Amino acid sequence: MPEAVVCVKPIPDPKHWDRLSLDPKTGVLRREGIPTVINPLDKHALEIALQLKDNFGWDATVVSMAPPETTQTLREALAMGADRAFLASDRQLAGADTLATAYTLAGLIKKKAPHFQLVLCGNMSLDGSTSQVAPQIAHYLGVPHITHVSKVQTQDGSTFQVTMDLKLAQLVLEGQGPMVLAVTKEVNLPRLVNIMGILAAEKKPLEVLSASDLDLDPSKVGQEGSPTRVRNLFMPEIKRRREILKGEPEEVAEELVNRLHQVGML
Amino acid sequence: MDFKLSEREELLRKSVAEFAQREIAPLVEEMEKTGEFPRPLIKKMGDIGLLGLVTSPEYGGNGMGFLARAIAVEEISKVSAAVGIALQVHHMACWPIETWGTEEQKKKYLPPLTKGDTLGVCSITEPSGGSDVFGMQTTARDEGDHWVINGRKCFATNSHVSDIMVIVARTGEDAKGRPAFSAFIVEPSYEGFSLGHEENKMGFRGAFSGELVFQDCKVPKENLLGKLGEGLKIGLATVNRVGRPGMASIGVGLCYASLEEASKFAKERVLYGKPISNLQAIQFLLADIYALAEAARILNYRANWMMDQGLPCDTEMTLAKYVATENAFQCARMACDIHGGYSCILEYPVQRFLRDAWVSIPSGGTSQVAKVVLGRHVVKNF
Repeated sequence: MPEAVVCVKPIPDPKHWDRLSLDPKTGVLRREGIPTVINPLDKHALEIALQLKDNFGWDATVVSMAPPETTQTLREALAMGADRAFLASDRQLAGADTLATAYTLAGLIKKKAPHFQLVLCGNMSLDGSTSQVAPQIAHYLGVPHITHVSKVQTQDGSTFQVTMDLKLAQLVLEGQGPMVLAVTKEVNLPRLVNIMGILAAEKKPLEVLSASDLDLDPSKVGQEGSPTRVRNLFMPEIKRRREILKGEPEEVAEELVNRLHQVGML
Repeated sequence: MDFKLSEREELLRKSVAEFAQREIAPLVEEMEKTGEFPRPLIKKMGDIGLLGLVTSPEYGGNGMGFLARAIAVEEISKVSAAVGIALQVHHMACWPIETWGTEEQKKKYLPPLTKGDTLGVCSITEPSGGSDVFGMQTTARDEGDHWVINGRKCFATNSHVSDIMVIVARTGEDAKGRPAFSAFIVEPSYEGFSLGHEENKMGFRGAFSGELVFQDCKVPKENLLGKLGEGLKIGLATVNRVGRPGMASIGVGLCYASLEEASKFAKERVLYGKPISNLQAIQFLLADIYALAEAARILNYRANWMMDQGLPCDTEMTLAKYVATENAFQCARMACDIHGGYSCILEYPVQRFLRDAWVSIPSGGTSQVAKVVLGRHVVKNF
């Protein structure tokens, strides 16, 4: 069966982002007590795989790199309908930037799903927002990629018409796997988990792998293997300013427009 | 003692919460205005498995059990207590059919009930009262090849949208000369059945409550549920073990809905240059809502866990129902206090929580009836 691999990232639940804070000394995000959810766009990617499974009998495999306590998010992906899940989890992998993450995920895919037809990712993660991992995975897998995918169509489950949303224009591409697609939220409406799915997920394979299981070059994983260094991480200070403009209405209106231009609001 | 919910239960909570946000939240305003139950929701609840929580897989359910049901009804009720009661009363029809039904009855009625092809109701209360079960006036007469039922049930949740009704009627006297009751499964298509008055309620708007009218209603012989004379046992067990924890779960849902709305509003509402959540007067209210919500939830989970373990739990279920529904009202009241004048505006949901909590208190027996049960328990055991 053709196989779709879906990359899933557990992130702090956006509903509770008001509870996130930064450690002023280390610059590390404090996320204690905040529940973890699947990065919302990754669910759209999973929905594509599940539709291919429903309509053309594909296999749907989920992969992730995250701390071991995030298995519940993978279980949720299995409850949605994925067939199996692999989690790369190891202290050696911690602190990875996008490149080291992509290298690790590509290694996981090569090891566990080498005959994939599609690798599906969310176009970006809500917490990192770099949009770099999907193209970097494609690089390491040696396959083409399309980002900003807002529509995926197929008649036969083999040739895909893929719409790339360029904001001012749309590019429709046609091709066959293997390839990497990074999708936006416009691509579909992900299905809800049903209770039968939750029960079925308990019997599906969820394998946790360490760095040594994946035949990776240790110099390319984790913080060690990350060329990107975070120099500073800070919460922007938001201040309210008040100024009362005086004068005739026409003058005040003109001045108001000027001021808004100056601060980049118009 | 392990208070941690399993991965399965946590995932259930999350999934039901997502379902409620996507499928129910957009309907609430219309339900409030019209009082009508959105019938397409039944199928959607069936598809996601909510209708089959207390039904075994062999009859189309998922059998996740009563603790799972408590979590699910709680999450649904955080968004709409009206849908919460429709769901929990539906379970009140499924459970006695599986517990006391014949194999034929289970095979006929349970799969469509769990799939969402049909909605159920269990109705005992009559105009003469609900808790005074011996005062029940509805009769069922044995006519050889069928039963003839006469009487009227009232305040029946799902009345006007249900397809399968479990009811209790008087079928004679027992050996000691006391009234004897039996349970029946009735379909609305049976000759002599009609729908009566539909109540216009202050709370649970969007969940039907109305009268079921039986005028020489012909019910097939095979629709007797359980044995002749077991009706009171079946009815009371269903109320105690399914209805009351269902109401308790709605109460817990309302407690947490009040908590979340109150906290959100307090953090957003700025007075004297700061959010009112900074004020101790407001924090004391939030602390009380939190304490009442947590206490209600723990009592409810314990009672439902006991049910799943097969332990006797009628007292615990009654305790959970009494505390959770009373707490729901107090929590909603305090959430309204925090909202000040905004609590009077229909756009703010706290006023709905208050109305729903009020209606939850007499549903499944008033607090005074619950206290009679609990008081007797105390006198006997302490």
